[in-house]
Amino acid sequence: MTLEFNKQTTDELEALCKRYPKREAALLPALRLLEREFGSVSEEGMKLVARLIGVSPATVYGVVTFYTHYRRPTDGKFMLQVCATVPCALKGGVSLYKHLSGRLGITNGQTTPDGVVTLKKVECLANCDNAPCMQVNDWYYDRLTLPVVDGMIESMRAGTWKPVRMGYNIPKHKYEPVLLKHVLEKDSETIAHYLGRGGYKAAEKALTTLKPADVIDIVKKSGLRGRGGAGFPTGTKWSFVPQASPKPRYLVLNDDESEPGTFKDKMLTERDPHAIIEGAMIAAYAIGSHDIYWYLRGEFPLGAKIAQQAVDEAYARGFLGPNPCGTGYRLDITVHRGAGAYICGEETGLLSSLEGQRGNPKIKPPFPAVEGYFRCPTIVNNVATIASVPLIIANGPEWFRKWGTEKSPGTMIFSVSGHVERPGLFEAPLGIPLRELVFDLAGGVKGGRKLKAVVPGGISSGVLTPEEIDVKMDFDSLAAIKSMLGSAGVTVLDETVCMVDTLWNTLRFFHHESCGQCTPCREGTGWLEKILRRIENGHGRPEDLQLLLDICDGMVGRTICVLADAAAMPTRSIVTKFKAEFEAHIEKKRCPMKGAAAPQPATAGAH
Amino acid sequence: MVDMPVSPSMEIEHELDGDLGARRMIVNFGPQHPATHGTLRNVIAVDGERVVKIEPEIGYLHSGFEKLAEYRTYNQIVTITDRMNYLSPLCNNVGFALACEELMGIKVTPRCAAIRVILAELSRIADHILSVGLQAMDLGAFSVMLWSFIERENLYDIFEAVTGARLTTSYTRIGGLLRDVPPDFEVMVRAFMTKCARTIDEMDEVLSDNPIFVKRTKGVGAISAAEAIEYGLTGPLLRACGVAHDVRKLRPYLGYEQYEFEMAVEPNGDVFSRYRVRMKEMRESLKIVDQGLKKMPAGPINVDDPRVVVPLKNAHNFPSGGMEGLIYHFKTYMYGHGICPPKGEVYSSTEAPNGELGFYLVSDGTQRPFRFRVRPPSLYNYQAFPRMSEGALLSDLVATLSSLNIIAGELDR
Amino acid sequence: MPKIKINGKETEVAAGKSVLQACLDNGVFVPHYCWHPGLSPAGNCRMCLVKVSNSRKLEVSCMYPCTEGLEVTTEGPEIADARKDVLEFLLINHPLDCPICDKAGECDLQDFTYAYRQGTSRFVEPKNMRHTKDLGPNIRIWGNRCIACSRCVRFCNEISGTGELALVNRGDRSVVDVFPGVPIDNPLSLNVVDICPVGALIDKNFLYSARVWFAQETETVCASCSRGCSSLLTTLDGVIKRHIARENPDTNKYWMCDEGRLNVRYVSSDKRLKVARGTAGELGAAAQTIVRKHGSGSVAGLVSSYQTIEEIFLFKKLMMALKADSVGVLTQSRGERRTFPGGFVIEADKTPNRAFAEMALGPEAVAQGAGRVVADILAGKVRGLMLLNGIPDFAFPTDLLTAAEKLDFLGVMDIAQSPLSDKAHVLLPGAAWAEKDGTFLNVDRRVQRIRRALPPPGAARPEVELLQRALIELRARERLVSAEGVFREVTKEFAGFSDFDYTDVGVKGVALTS
Repeated sequence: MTLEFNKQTTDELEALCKRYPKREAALLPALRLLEREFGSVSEEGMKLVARLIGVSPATVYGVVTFYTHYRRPTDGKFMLQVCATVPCALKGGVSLYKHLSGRLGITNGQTTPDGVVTLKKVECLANCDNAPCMQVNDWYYDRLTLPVVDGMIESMRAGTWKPVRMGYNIPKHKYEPVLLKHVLEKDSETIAHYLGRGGYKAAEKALTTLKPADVIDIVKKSGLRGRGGAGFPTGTKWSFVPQASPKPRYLVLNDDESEPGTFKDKMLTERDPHAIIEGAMIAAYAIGSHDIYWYLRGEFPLGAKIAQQAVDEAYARGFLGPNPCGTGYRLDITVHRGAGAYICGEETGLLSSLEGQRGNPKIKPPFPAVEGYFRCPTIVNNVATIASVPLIIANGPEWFRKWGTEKSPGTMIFSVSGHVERPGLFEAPLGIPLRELVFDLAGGVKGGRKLKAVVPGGISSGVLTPEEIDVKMDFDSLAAIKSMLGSAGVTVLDETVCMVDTLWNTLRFFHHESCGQCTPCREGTGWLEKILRRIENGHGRPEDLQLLLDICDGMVGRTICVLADAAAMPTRSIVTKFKAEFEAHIEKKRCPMKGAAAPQPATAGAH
Repeated sequence: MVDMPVSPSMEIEHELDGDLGARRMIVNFGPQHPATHGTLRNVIAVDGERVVKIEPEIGYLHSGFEKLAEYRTYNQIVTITDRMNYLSPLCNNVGFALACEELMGIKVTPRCAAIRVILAELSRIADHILSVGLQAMDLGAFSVMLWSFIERENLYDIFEAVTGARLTTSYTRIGGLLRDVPPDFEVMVRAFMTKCARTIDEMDEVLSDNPIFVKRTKGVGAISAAEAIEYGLTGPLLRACGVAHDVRKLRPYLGYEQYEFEMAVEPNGDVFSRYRVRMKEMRESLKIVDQGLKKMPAGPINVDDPRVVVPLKNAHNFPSGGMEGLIYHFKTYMYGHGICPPKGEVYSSTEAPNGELGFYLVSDGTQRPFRFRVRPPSLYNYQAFPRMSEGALLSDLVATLSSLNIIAGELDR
Repeated sequence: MPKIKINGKETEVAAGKSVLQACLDNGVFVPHYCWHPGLSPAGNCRMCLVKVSNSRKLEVSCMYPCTEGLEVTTEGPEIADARKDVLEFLLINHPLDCPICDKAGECDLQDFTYAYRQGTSRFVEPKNMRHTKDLGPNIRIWGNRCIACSRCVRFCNEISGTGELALVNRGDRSVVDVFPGVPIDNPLSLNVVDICPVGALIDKNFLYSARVWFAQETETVCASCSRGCSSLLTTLDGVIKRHIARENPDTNKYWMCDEGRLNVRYVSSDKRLKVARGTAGELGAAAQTIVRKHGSGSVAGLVSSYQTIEEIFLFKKLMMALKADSVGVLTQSRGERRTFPGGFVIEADKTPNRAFAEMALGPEAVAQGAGRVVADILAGKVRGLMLLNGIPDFAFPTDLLTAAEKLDFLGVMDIAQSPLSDKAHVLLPGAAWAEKDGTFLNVDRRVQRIRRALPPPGAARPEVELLQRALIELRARERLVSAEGVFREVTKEFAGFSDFDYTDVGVKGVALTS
């Protein structure tokens, strides 16, 4: 049976292909169209897409099997994607999964015989403050309890299930919000609302009165550093684009928020997309780019929908298109959905994915600013970084420096999750002490328990012990104590947490997400996880601890990208700081904390 | 008498006359003769009982060891070395292993060195005791030979317990040994040492002052020190001429510099001196064995280099070392791989019972040597036989030949 | 042309070369898996890490550009550690398959482990399992052995242009696979088996048939088309086990087509002629009798363009001695000349020596094939025919078969049984391409050598011997020489062969000088 797209989809695909420099870059969106039209990505469908895009069927097969978020023909009507990564696991995510598995009688990836429900264990869904979290098809569900979930299954089977839109947690505190100022207001995502609060004036100012070099200068002076994880000075990065290159330049917005414990980009995308668009306009102008690609992770279909709506609004109002703000400086934004891969948050992995391939990071040097998207100069910026740009242009670089420290100016949206009274998003100046963030702003450890450890910047940054939490939350202070600010995903662990189990969960994440290209990471992440599994299940050996550290030494600095380093950092951190717990596991030949009840999903209304 | 040349350098010259005592003859002493210990042939031109000219002919036991070695891997060649000096095969094993190890730059472990020294000295005793015993038997003292064979049998028991074989020991390997000595090694050896010392003393008592023995050996088969050096004699033959030359003292190997023993040197260079040298050497060897047993260090017997010594099998990872272990096993055993010394050559020598046993190895970088040349002490020792026998009586020849202790396996290879 | 230093030694490198290429060109070996000189670099195996002066960390030399003044160090403790660690990671999930893996003995994983890593493993966990399946009619993959270097994927994308292979799944579950139902089945498919650094991709035709360290390898050229790709014959105990590509920048670079590789079965087929009828001398004598009886032009000749330069040369001499008028050349073409995206070409002419046949006997003789000879036989002019054929599985034209009935004398030198060999008056079995020494002139006018790798079966003899004996019988030649001796005679008579001898031809061939 040979599949064919209907006319509308075919036209849509052709229009889409024209938005990319090469036809093959439209492969991932083409697969989404396939999914939309036929309900899943089947083998026949892959052949169709291969023919239309002009690549071999095997290439498409390789791409589809790399990503985790495409619907396959064996998937049921409702795809339950339960997050089991550290922040959700702390609040009962794994128990939730096990409960569902038992209730439905299926395991990871399987579908119930009646074809209604598919169950999948997935990685961080960027909704950690509302853990445990689950995605049902395109919809997020959080603050789940077992009765709620059971009720959902019933309604799914009965055909009466309806999606519910979940909310955001942005508790008020002593620091005045900057980026988050308007996000909880009704219709904050519309252009009308945005214009009402002075939106697009900064873009107009930049495009009409400033030269690109001036824009770069302003951003450099502001000291803005990347909010995606690497913390690289944004203005400096923009200045790496070679002025004299005749190749087209590209701006790519990294909305692939996948670092466990981080959930700020999702909120910004859904609640203030125009800030991102305006920032993108200015950034593109600064680097001489006319084409902007907004890459959202596959698990953000709502975000993609809102982003596209905002982009359409911006086109309609003349801010995008051939004549933004009357300047004739063409600006086009293409919304591009990923398909489920943490590695696509790495800038060159993202570029590979945007080129229609498996999300394999590229060898650096050359760096993307010189040779990036299809070997043209490309700047990849996190959306929160981009969203800061309009305010900096509008108010000037010194204004931005009102907050934060000398080397890390500005505010940061801290994502706080785990065992705290008030999990959620907290925008505060960079440099506030971690203690203040956890115990003051977020209300301290939930239920008055003792603090055991804090993850300061997403699980790649390792953990800090209670003695270390007076550190200032900025890029350099954390780097000085061998940790990192990263994406500012703060996860709090109390005394009931088994650190060995936490490390195992962390390494399961990296093992699952490694792209598999280069040897040390591909094999090393798997090896680390297997050792942790063995230790947690009571079969550890004394030499395993040194072996874990040796494996980290073998991985770090030898790989194409830093996922290997991201796996090594928490391993080194937890193994050295909680050595006694590991030794206890090894000596007692079991986890000393099992038997102590595994965390259950929160009871209703517990927030 | 037939008018046919029997050797290139000698022509038949005979006179037929009635006086038997003054007849020139050419006689064969060997290759089959009870007094040539091994298949050697000496073509002798005699004038009555007196020797006019001797021409030794060798090669009756030539088996092509050196050529065979070119088709064997280095560890396989050890089996060939057993068959050279078959009275003291362990000395050959040790000498060869040392040559290969020198070529590869490997230093064996202390325990391996100690074991090798002990076994080499025991082999020396085996060789000398038999040499003396056969010497005595050739001169009529049959019982002495039987006594020496008893001790050899005792030694065979020890060698069999350690190596698994009496004669074809093949015990050393490149970088180590076949296996460690059994737990009762020291007990066995000390028991032997006690008995052997007594036997040596008995032999000494019976022979050293025995007028027949003395008369038949003193002054017989003499050679001067200068000539000995010119002929390239080594070992007891050289030391019996008063030259204090012993490879163990001159270029110590396997830690010989740490053992206390004296060189056996006698001044006269005749058969009796050689006998005295051998007797003394046996006693010194017992001393060395005693010291070796006392200081026997613990530890591994094989050097820790997986390129040379295959890793042991491990209980939970068959073969040892998982994937890497399998690859190493494979690469070590695969045809064309294994122990491949770097390209180069080495000449390495040890003090074998008969003298300086040298191995000249040329490696072309592959698993098999390009050239395996042995410097057998017997070959050079045998050269001097005609010189030693000038003007001697036929019966002196027997005494002289047995004092040289020519082992045909080593001589002909 | 930037000047760089490799391990302290200064050297000048061509623009655009990577550090790895510069090292290899200067005789400094850097171990590597995923890089291949005929493919784009990938940089994923991490085995080629070296120290470079303008970076803090080790960099992969296969993708690092040579810039003026760069200092490269390829030895030292840091690099030794890196190699050890990368190998450790490669080996932890590798199956203990050496005893059953075809690649053993020529496996980069074995060789580099032995050279750079100690012989013990620290991995005590269960190993990953990946699929073992047929990827195509000729190729089977043992997925457990795959190191995800992507050489095969790049080959199918860049050289054959067919894209049947891809890496599927993610992380340590990655393995090479095909799209379900779309096997790898292109004319160059078996090259991926050549370039797989481990035993993951295996040629099903060679599977379990020989251990390479017992086998002999003979450098020769493929005879299956006029390109004459340099190739390597692996034989064991006189049986051809496999036929693979050999590097030659002037003819085939690094590749060879499947047809050339697999077209070796005919050498050991049952139809090979092993028994002679008559001798070479009788062949000459019988033909001479015809000439004496019926005059010049009464003996004709047919020679195939599968014969070597030496054989065609001698055959021409034989025809001249027999005063033949018509000599035809049997050829074989199939399909179109095909150029692949990577530049590799498969010729339509499926014989290796047409260029020399044209040179020696004239383009007309080649163009008309057996046409003129058949006509002359039917006209009664030609009474005797000498046939020298070596084309495998050749179907003789039917008009030739019919005309042959009218001959007074048919002398056949061939390698396999055919209707003509059945009715030949004198039948001399010949040697197949792998069984003799000789040279071919390829389509680009390069002289290339074939080498004898196994003896011809039974009474078969190399045709240079048969032809010389016939000539000797006719007193047109004095003595028997080797194929090389005949080649020297060829060089004296044909311009462009200069003063070449077999050493000049060597293993890579040599271009004619005019």
